[in-house]
Amino acid sequence: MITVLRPLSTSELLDRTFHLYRNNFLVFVGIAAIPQLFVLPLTLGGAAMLARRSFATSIALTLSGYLLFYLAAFIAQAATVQAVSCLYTEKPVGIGKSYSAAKKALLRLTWILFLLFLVMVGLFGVTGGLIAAAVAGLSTVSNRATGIVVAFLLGGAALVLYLRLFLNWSLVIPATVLEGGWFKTSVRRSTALAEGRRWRILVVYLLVIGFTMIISFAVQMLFVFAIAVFRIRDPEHIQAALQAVQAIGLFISSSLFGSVATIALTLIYYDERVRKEGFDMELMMAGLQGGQQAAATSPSA
Amino acid sequence: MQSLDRLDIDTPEQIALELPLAGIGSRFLALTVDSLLQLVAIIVIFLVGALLTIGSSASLGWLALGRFVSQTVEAVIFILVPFCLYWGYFAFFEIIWQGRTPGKRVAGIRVIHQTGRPMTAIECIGRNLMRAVDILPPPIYGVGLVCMMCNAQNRRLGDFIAGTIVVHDKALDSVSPTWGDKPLAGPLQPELRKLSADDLVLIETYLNRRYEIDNFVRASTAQRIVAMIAERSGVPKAAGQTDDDFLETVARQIRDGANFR
Repeated sequence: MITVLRPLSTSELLDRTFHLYRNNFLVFVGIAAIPQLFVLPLTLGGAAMLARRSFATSIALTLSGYLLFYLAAFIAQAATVQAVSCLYTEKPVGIGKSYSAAKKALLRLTWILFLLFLVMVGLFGVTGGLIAAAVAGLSTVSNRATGIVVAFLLGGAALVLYLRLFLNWSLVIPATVLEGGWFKTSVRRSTALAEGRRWRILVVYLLVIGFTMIISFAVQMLFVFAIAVFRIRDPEHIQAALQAVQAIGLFISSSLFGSVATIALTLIYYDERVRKEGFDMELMMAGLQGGQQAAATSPSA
Repeated sequence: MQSLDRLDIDTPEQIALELPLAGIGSRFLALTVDSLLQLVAIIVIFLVGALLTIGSSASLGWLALGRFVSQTVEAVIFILVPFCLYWGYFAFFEIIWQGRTPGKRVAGIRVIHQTGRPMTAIECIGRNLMRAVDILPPPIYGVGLVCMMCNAQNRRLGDFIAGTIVVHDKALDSVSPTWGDKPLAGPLQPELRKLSADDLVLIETYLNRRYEIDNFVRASTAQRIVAMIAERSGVPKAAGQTDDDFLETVARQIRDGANFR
């Protein structure tokens, strides 16, 4: 049989996200958990050092743990995109297979995300500086209230700009992992696919992120309650216990739910390709030309 | 790819119904919209209530009855109305809109009985009373969520109690083809029988979607499909015939010829 796809509504896209997640739960949890396993010893080590009052080592371990956490998340995202791609095109999927397919893109993806981070930091600096200069200038020539109003207006405009850029870049990860472009190519590709569909991407992103954040928070809270259950009251140990519990909670929640947003973004990427480029027909033609013909049965009249 | 969970129902008339089940995503979207609407309604009611309370205190303040009236208005507006709004909102809309709330309309989903018939008012009320359990721990719907993750039909406790399911509504325009209204030119060509059902799916997908895609993509896709179909069937495109006309003719001939295979 050829692969039959079609454009999805927002609610269908959300459903398909959770459908894929639930039906391939172990694959997605495995993909998200493996890189996080390297982070956990560092964050737990930081908590242990805190309990032993070795503050400098504790801070160093904890900070490197959280930095590594983001790197681990990028790596897991690349593998998740590959897994969704396999499921989307009806190919067999597995944790090892996804990582092996994603390994070529890991360095590129990390570099692109690092550049995007730098661009965002630069933009924050420039717009923040411009707003501060405008407000300071206005406050000297006019009254303070005008300065505050102008600061709010410029701040609002800057937020809209950030949001627009964020949505334009939202499909960079699947674009670079699946198509192989570097920074400029992937950013342009993502912008082209997001064009005219930013609201939809925003709604899906907010819902999925909101959903996963609420559930992750609930999971982490369960571990924080454990401190109360174990009646740790010693103020010297309670901070270390809290840090350890947060590290375990973060590991579990990011392993369990870390892949959901990436699944949604990859599905949006494919859906935009289906809508704008007829990707579904490309797949059908490839299936038919590749000899994957179905038996010549009569179509239902 | 199997896109969504499905439920197959055989009606007493021996008609097989295939219903696309609504999943966690679309139900969360609907719940978000409904919760926002409830929040807006509660804010409006509170503002109106505050104005009414201030008004009644000012106008009746000199009477002994004034305080009583003011307190009653406060109780009704700040306790009774939000209570009714919270508990009655879902049941009210699902009863009058046949299984849909404003949020479910936005998400394109509907609650029906598991046998495929519309649900009754009692089932609707029972289903919504169980929200008190499904919502635990509030407001994250933890019980409902775990329940939905653990069964293939994405049902929460309220759905099990009332025997209901939530399905995707299918718009009529999504099932009616946007081609095939032109009269068939020429006799049936036997060579087209070499084409398979998958070829027809490809042609029909193109014909149904051609007005939604970019003109350049449309032209190049049509060209490639025409070349592929001509090669596979041995029926070339006639001189002067457009790609779309050729594909429409082929699809019509396969459909019409299907009865004689």
